[in-house]
Amino acid sequence: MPYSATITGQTGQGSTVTIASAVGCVRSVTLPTFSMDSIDASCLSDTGFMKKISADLSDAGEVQIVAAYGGASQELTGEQETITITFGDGGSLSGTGFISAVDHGSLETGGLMETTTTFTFDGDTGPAYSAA
Amino acid sequence: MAIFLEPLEGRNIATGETQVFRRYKVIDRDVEGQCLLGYVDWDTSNIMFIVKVDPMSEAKFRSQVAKILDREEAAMNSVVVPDRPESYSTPLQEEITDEFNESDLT
Repeated sequence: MPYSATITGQTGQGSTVTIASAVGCVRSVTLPTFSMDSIDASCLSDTGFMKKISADLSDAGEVQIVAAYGGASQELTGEQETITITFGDGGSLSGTGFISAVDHGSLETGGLMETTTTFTFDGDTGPAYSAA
Repeated sequence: MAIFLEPLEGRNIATGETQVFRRYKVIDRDVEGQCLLGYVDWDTSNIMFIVKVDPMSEAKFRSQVAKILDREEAAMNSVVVPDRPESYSTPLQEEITDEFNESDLT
């Protein structure tokens, strides 16, 4: 949430994740890395650094959600659904995609059981940002 | 207190276009302001709450959202189709038809 009106910066406290299948008590969210491949365009006569051009399409990446194990597991149905991550300041990031992985973590004495759900954006709608 | 549904939309990060999702924001609005309660997908009346609400309020919100969705669906289904001209359903006399006539072969 925002710290103050004069200092820029906020934490993830109060953020929420919404997908069709409930994820329970969310402990952390890894936001996506948007990336674009590079294509080597170096010529035989070039010296020094490689010359590169950008590819045509961007990769929307994926979101990882770590939640406390609540007795149920996410299903890998492959069906398209929408994810909405609402930040503490009211802004949100939404996009369509599918659950591509569910990691059930490990069992340890004195350790909280957690599951890690990976949501992969499919690029159909979004990812799109909405201001507060 | 009144419940409103607003389409969830945002600016696509790659293209910069505004896109609308098949999801609605469930907003509780009163004279003091408004509060985002959660989201509901267009094809289901299941609200995904992002704030903690007590069971009684939750039931009330779910009922109100279901009513709004039912009302919108009824409005969509009550679109009046314009009348077709009578000539479309009643063939005109001496109209050329595609009926097969054996005498046409000789």
